[in-house]
Amino acid sequence: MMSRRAAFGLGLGAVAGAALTGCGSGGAPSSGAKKAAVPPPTYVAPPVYPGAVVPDVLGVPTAYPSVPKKLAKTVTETPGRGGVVRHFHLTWGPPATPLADNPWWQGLNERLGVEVKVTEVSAGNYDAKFATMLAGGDLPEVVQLAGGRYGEIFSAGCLKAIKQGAFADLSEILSGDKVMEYPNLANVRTEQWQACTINGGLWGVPIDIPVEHLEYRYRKDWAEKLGFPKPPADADETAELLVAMTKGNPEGSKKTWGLTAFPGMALELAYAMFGVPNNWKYEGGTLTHATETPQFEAAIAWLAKLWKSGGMHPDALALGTQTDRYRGFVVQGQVGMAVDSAANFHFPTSQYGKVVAKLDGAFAAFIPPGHDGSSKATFRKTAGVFGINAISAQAAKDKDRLAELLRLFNWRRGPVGSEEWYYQRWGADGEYFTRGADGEPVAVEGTNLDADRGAIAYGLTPQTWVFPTAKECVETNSQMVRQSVASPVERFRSDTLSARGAQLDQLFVTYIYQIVVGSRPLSDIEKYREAWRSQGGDQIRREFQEQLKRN
Amino acid sequence: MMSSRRPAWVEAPNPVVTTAKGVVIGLILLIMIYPLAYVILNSFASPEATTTAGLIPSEWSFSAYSTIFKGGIVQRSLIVSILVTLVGTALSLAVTATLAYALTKTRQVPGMRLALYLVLLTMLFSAGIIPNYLVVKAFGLLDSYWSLIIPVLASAFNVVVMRNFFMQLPRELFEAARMDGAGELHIFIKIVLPLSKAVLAVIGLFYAVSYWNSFFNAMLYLNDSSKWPIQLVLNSYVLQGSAMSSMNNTDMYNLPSSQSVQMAVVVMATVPILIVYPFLQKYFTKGVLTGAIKG
Repeated sequence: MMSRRAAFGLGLGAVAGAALTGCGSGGAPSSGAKKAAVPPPTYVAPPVYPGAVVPDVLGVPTAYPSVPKKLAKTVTETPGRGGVVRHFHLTWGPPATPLADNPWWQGLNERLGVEVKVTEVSAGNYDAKFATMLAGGDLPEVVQLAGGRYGEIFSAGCLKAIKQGAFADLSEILSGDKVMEYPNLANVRTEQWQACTINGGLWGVPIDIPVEHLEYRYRKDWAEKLGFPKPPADADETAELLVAMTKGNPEGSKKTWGLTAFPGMALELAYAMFGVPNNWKYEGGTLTHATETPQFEAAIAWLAKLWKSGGMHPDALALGTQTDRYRGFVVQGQVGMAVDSAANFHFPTSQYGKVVAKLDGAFAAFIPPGHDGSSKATFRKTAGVFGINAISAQAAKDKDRLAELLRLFNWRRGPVGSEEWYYQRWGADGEYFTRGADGEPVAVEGTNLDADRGAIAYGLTPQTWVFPTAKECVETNSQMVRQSVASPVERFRSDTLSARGAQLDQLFVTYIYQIVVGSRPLSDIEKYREAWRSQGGDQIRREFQEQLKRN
Repeated sequence: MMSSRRPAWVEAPNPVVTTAKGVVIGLILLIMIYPLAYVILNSFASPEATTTAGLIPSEWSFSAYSTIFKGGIVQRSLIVSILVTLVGTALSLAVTATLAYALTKTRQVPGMRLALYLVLLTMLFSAGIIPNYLVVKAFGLLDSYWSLIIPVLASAFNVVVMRNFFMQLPRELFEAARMDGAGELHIFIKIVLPLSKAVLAVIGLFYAVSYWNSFFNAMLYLNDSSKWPIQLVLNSYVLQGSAMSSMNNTDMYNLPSSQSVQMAVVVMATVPILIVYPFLQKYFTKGVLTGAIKG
């Protein structure tokens, strides 16, 4: 399995990544006739506490420069009735500390009033584990449904499971004001619910992410030293800066590079500057794939020129898929421009956050320019959903049990500034963190909350942007969202894309990678397009167009 | 002197060829050793100074090891892997040896040839992931360490190798034992096994490595992560860590594992099984050749 952003990172978002953020009502497999529509859950904005940086753009998280001093209790009664609740959790790291040695997990159980048993599965092994558990009738009561390889919110396996009736349809129980019975779930935005909807069925509670979670940074100190006192104003100047960062020895004897990874940062940057459409462009009833546009061709031409000029690391192609290695370059101060999740740059304890703090403003956020200096860069917006917390149909047969599970969801979806949220983020006061005089959590020496929480805390908590640079983060992110576009097919899906995606990815590697590194002429883009159309691209277009016309 | 040990009919070696051979062997050795050295040396790099190029870290530190041992996950998974490997290898050897010996009796015992074919059949066809899962579930082995051992208790390939080895043992010894009143079990334990140390060591090593490397079955059959063997933990550290950044959109993973931590886990997952090899090396060639080729 791969995240949507990873798909972009590989350039695959543009290759075949048509369904950028989901599949919705349109072409999803159906287990029967389309249900009569019920109103989506009512939206109630999460409470805002003193000090909040409230964005004026939908989809940008409300941020806080520090933890709200007074925490609100949003759930007054213990939500669980005892017994065991099994969760199937995605994880991107080592497993959580076992329950017996894990005070955080024990405290969570106590607060929830149930024993949470977790089956953790690494993202890369998700499909195999999910398929076997499904076949064995062993699905836990709560299952995190993973997205597909091409940015779909539901992977093909998950869609099949939904079609087979493995999960509970929550559309009725949460429709309209009924969601107010679980008030914290009402903080989920309507478009996020819609992204989790197929054929009128609502298949779970979304995993919250910002609609645009990336942030661009560049080494301002190097740029100034190299004669670029301001952020680059157009694509040419950006290329000049990147080449200068590689060849101008801004760090003296330490080797540096403008960019270290292709596709990754390089493709993301070029797409943004040249305004490559978000997967597809829909005009006059016709879809044009991003790679069929002149903007794409211009972006690739720019990248090829940059490669030839030496603005990228010579191993950039390999580093494009070796996230940790290229991140190492950033940590070591050897790369001039980087893109990553905004949170990763702003949390003071994160890998990049430490670099940002160490460089004291020299690793500055910037918004890439439009290619010609007069237009603006265009970014790609998502529905703000990374995956879904579904409830098994088996568990939902018992209405009381379903209500209990939703109460547990409600507790775990406690908004930023609530006691429930604080516990999941920092644990009980004094156990892992103690709140200092200013209210800020201070780590208790010898404890390791991250190891204890593992992935257990992941999935239901809202997006948390609590860091001293909250204002800057919100400003930059808001501007990026203003300049972003959604994919016209984000709520649809294509069976051909699921079936032939890997083949189309390979085409991208064969042609576009080679064009960028100079092994093929730029004119081969046309050959790539022809191959892409004949090997499934046209069929994918037809499938999406039909759904667009129907809806 | 070398020349004095050289048989009279062998030409004196050409120094150029000898040098070339040395260079080639040296290069091959370097290619083999470099990745291992890279992993080991970089496991001692400071997490802040992740080495992105070069063999020698810019800053030395034991912090990667202290990080992985502080959590307790790696120790626990190492103990799980060691126990599964020891118990699994012992049981697999017992089952393989007894089955292989029985399968040497195709002429004496009716139906044994059919049994041999059934064993060979498993080399040609495998059941697939989901049927295997359903069988493991039906036997109530899910989330049990036995699920890592019982489904892979006997490998048809190893049974065939061992059977071939047994077939090479002198029949006269068995005849003599029988004349002295020894039964089949007595012959097997007192004569066959002592004469088969080489093949037992080699097959034992095959099984041990296979149990030690067991990852996929553990991922499928173990739901409780506290029961994970080291390879599954290694997978979560090394392979999955890289995916984090691309979705690092929550604050859940503020401190993704650095390259040095990943390298340290690789070392911990590799060294224990590597230590076994030198002790079994002397049996290795003899065991494999006798069992596999002469048969």
